[in-house]
Amino acid sequence: MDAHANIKNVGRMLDSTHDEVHRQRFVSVLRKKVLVDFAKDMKTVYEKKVAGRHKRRTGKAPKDAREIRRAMLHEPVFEAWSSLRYNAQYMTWWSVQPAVERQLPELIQAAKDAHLANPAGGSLELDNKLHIPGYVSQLDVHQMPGCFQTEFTKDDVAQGAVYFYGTTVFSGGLAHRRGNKGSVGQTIAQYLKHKGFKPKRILDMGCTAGSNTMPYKEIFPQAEVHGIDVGAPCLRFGHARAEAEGHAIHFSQQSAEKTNFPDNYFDLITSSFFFHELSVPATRNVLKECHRILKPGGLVLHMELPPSALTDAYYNFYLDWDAFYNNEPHYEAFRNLDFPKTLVEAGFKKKDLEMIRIPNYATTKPEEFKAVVEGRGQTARRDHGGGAVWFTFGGWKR
Amino acid sequence: MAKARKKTNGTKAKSNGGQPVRLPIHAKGKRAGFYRDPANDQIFSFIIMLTQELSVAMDRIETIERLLDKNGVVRRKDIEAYRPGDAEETERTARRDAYIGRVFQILHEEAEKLEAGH
Repeated sequence: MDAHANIKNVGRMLDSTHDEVHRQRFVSVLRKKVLVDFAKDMKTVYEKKVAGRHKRRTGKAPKDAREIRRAMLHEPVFEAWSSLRYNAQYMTWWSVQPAVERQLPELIQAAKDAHLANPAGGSLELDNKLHIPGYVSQLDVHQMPGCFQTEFTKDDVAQGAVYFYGTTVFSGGLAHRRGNKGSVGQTIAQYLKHKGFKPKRILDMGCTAGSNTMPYKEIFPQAEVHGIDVGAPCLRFGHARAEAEGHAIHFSQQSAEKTNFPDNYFDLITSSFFFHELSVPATRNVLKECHRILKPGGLVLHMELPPSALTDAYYNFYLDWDAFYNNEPHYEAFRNLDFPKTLVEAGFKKKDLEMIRIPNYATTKPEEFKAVVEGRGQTARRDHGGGAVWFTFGGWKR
Repeated sequence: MAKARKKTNGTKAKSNGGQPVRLPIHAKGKRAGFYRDPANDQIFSFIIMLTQELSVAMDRIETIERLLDKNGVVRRKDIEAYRPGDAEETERTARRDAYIGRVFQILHEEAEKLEAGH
């Protein structure tokens, strides 16, 4: 039981100085102010001024996100809000980088110890010949300098650590995510458990440092759980953390577009916040690959931002900001896809598709969660940024 | 197959000879700008970074005050080791929230006037 007690947990090692801790806390609060308080002001200016002006000039209200964007682009509130949000993004990573740099030798050693001892019985398979797809290698996604895959030294875990600790700062001001790493994985796994679905073999695609992979092993302890990603530093970090916390998870460095898993292999294939970072052709490839490696009777259920067809024009403008300014250029094109059509083209049958909005498990009253599981009405909460409900899409293979 | 994978720990990077690693500060890709004059984007970044540093200084002062209240003396290593508990963290968060609100309060102005029907 205590086999993992003598290895240090890379997920609990960051030793920030007093001032670094308070720099991190400032960024968490700043992000909450930007995403909640100042976002409300920006919407007010749009609704009470910009939309009306556009209508007077053109005879119509802006019809979609692009038109709203053009109308808002030089509004002082958009310029200032965007500046705050953009800088807060950089500051998130900057707030943890100095401690990661300082502690990198210790973090690497802890990861190596975890790999060697491997107390939980998971595994780590890296492929240093893997071609890193252009949508990851050509620009640093989320403005995180170094992205998911850059290695600065041998056995490097730096980018895994920056991502893991940085995302804690990133979500630290949002009540539904604070102190709850892996809330998407937890929510989907609990939803499926409540439904009585018992997957024996689970795959999490684009798992980064494994925060959303771990809940699947916690909630389905009998299952064989796999996580794949193209970024070696994230996988090393994720495997080391899972081992230290006693979860046997099999991490491997693979592109989700073409994996080495056999046909009909998994009962459940999932991901969180993954597809919007891929090019649209890659999205199609990944969905086809999902269909290939999914068992008959199995389920694919990915968490993502909701497609633009399901949200209003203003919310689309608001979400698509990332496509223009957060090094996520495919975000808008992904959300503009016809999701059912794309899934059908990947091999799923129309009648077997799923699109489910699931309230965040940890911050939802059990009866509300149960009501959603049982299909007794949708939750009234907003998606993603506005609160605590996750949009999921996918389908069954029959 | 997947079950029988061997454990490997390959890497693309070579050892850097034990030199401390410096992580990059800037992200690959185009730096975004929101103002017609890019100098304004720079000034905005300076201001927000300064806002953060002042917030950090305020937190340090608060730590010193609390240590003084408790012990009557302050030692540097006690400041460094000090971590607020949950209740204190909630207070500090409320203070930071109000502080950011004050620094950027002009952002609320237009929306408030529009709400009031001006």
